[in-house]
Amino acid sequence: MSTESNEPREPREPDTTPADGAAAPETDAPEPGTTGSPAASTAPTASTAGDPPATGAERTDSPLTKARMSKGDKIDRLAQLTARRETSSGDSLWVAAFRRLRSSKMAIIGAVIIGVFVVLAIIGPWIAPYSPTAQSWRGEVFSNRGIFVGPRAENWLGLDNLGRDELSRLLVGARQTLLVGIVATLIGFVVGALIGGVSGAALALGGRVGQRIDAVVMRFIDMMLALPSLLLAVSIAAVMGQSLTTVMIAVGVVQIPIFARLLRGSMLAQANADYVLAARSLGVKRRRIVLAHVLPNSLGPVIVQTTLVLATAIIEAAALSFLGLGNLDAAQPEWGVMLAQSQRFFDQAPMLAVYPALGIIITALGFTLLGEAMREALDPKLRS
Amino acid sequence: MLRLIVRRLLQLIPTLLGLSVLLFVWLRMLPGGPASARLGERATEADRIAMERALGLDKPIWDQYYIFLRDLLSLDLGVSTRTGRPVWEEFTQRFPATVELGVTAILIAVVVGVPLGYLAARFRGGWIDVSAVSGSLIGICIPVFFLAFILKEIFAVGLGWFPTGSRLTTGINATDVTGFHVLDGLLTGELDATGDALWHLILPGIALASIPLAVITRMTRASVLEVLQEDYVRTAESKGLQQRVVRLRHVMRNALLPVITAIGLLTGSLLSGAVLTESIFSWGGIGSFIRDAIDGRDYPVLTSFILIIALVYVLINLLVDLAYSLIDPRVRVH
Amino acid sequence: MSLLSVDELAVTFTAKGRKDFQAVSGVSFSVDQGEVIGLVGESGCGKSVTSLALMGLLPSKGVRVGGRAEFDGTDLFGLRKSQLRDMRGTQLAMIFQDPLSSLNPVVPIGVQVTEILSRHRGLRGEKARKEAAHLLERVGIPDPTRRLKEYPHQLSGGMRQRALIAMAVACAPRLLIADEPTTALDVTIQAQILELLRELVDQEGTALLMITHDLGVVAGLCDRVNVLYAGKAVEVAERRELFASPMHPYAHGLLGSIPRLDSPRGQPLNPIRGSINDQIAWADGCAFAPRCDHYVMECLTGTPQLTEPAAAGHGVRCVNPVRDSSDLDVPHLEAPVMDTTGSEATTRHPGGEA
Repeated sequence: MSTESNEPREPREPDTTPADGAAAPETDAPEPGTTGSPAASTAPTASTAGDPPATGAERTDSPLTKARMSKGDKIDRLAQLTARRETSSGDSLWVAAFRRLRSSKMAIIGAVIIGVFVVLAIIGPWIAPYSPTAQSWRGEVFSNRGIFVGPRAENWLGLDNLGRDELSRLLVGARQTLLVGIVATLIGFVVGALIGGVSGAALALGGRVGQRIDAVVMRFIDMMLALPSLLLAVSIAAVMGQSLTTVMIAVGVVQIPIFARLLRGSMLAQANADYVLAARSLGVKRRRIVLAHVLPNSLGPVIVQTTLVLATAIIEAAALSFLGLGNLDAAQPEWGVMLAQSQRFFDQAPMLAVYPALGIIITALGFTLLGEAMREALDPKLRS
Repeated sequence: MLRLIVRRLLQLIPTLLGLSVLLFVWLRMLPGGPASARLGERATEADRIAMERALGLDKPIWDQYYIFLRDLLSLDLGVSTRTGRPVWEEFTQRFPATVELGVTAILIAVVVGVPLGYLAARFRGGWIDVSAVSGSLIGICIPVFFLAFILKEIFAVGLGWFPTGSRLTTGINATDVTGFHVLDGLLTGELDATGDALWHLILPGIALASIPLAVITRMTRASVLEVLQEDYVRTAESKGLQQRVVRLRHVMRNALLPVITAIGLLTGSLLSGAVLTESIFSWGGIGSFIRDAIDGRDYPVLTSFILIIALVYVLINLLVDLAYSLIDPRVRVH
Repeated sequence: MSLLSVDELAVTFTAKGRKDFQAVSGVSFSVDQGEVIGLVGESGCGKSVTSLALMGLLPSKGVRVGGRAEFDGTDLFGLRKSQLRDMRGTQLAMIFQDPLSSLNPVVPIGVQVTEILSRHRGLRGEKARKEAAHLLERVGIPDPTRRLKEYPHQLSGGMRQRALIAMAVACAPRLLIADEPTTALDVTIQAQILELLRELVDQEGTALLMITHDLGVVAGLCDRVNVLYAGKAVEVAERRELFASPMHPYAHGLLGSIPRLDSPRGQPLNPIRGSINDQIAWADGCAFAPRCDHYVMECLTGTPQLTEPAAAGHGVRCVNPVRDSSDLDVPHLEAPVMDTTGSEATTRHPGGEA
């Protein structure tokens, strides 16, 4: 498609800068007589248009200027006027995507949320005012009679149903929550990308054997996708018994088919791209094409998905906790478990459920925002 | 078209067979078993062995699988080891409840999400767009069980506008025809039963709709934005057509194509959400029954239920593909 | 009085956070009944923007349209949206560049033709289908009743463009705007489509605004030509006059850059240097100066004006125009690429509807 047809909707960036500022003659510009674009690309960013008085002077002796004007003057003037504001060098896809990401409000909000969350996860246990497990104020809370202690000077967010400091538990729990999210995502990513990569590579490398491998692997992936993910996770948790590791693995396994499908599909699209055909016709080895071109170019959507799955993993871990399959170890408070356990007391102490719920929602939102912003930044169709 | 359907149905057979083998092996890896689950902790070893023989679990696993397949061919799904009732009976009793809930959720998601996504795209950057986009982002991030719980606490327990659970008010007269209460009421003319069933559906329906709604809204918005840029929309405008024709025939008909595919894929996540929503609203669907079946190591129920769910999922996606090819003539060629 | 007269048309894109971009400025021309006017220039010169501005198809946000465009006495830019909708298809109609992407892929051709009939002519049902089939037949689509049920992807490129033309002429518009209608087509199909357009102009007296970058199309079809560069008309002339003595260095270069079969072997081609990106702002001087062989210092002293230095009706926007075109050897372009006998005079439709 020509730029012409895009014109009405997407105004082309004007290549020239307006007349402002003083002239800065550029002497090493090529002659206008030679072929190629004169001056345009070599002109410095600072220079723009000439100063009006000079222009006026030239106009007055116009009949003679043609004869008197040196070639150098002509070149200088052109160089000034065609100067570009910004040399649009051939940025790589990733650099360009990163630049778009930096200017996206969504990405910034997401990154800030994630940043705060990660910092809390790291320093949480040290800044927590009290032990998260000590039932120091046990005598003041009677959950069976509906007596709870709300926020007060020594316990900023109040006490939980066992007389433990809620703030300390939330701070320590941030680390567990992040850990569950990251490990589960890693499991899904590594195994899924491996399966999808093998399948996609087998298909891209071609041959009957490659197709067979791909067909078998994809049938398996389809089977996994046909199972409701939560049921899969629940049954895995049932096999492994209740623990934090169980939750991580159960949530991670559920993500495997998604990653596998995504990477394979993305590799397939790349393998059918014209540049692969070009590389092939140049005699580049198929294995090299797959490893050096197809695979790296297919990773974009997978990386986006990784960010989004971090959010899903945290939410699904909470769901498993809600179903009673979460971590039982009281020494390791986790937001999902805290949310699940506090729902029983919602009528008397709703905030005990709201705090961890807000933590989960905001954290998941952070990852989702960043992931969506990345998706937009990498999408060639949305570029402007 | 017919060939496509037949081919897809044939492709289904190996997938389901493979899945049944996996399920068989997987379930028997679960610690404990139906016998110990049913007898409790104080049962003697002899009791357990006797029970396992009665359930046919003492045979080698391939024999068990052979029996399962043989019974399946005569449409016998076996008997629940937990309740002692035929699996098929358990299924047909609960399946309509889950379907009714799921359909309600998808309807809410489509009826609200498609117009919302369209408006967001048309007034890109306006207040509708900003709130639709941020709303759908937040919607994806709220755990379904928490949303269901909050809705129930506020609107059922707190304000008392809606029932706190179950599918019908006890005492209401509802004849069972199809198992879908809303439909049954209409069929038998018991409109108060239909109304009551709808009243019960609202809160769990909204909770379950949250994720599909968010996905469909975003999808419609992105799709409409893309279609609005298309040359054929400009052509339609150049013909001086009424706005209504341009929007419905030229914009929406194209923009809904990816949304239809998304609806098919959403049914999978819908079932996960149903497990959680059903347990909060004591819905009595298959979601909570499967959850209990896992705890009770109810092999026949788990195998059959999960296979049927997988079958339903695949069939829905087949239907979606067929619907797609009806709307998009370019697909029909293949 | 002309059917359409465009006066100092200016289109500015105003994106948030970006500098305004003037895509078109100071374009003036007029089109008479039964006349074919060419807008010629390379990609990005503002031809398409001009046509979309006239049709009112530019987005309402982020675009500023200035100047005047009068169609049979009505000010096109002063119309309300609904009035413009009524005019589109009946008074002005447009044919687009890429026939595949310009047709709705999921709606049968028949519906895409009949919808305009029902909108503007009130035809419905069997009547509309009959008329649609008749229209398809008229633009040279064989077996039209079958084609009505087919979808765009089932038609060949030439057929699609014919179908688009059928839609455009369905309500006998008085002005047809064709935006590079042959660019996406094979050369043989191109000639057929141009012939079809020629026929429409000759038989119906429709005025045609032909937007193209192809000088062959201009030579075969147009009565008058506007050469655009960077959003401004740089040369305006009768076709014959332009081909015989192009005065703007850009037009001169365009004509000189056409490869010829009868030139001696080994003679290098003669392209215009650089690309449209090598330009300066019109406010500073002539936008073409960086690529120009006739560049003098005066070229950079403000916007050059459209003057008629040699002959009346032959406007040139240049301070140092080409006076002697004897180096230019383009006689074969005078001989049209296709049969255009009778295309000279604008008064050649004594029987046409006036």
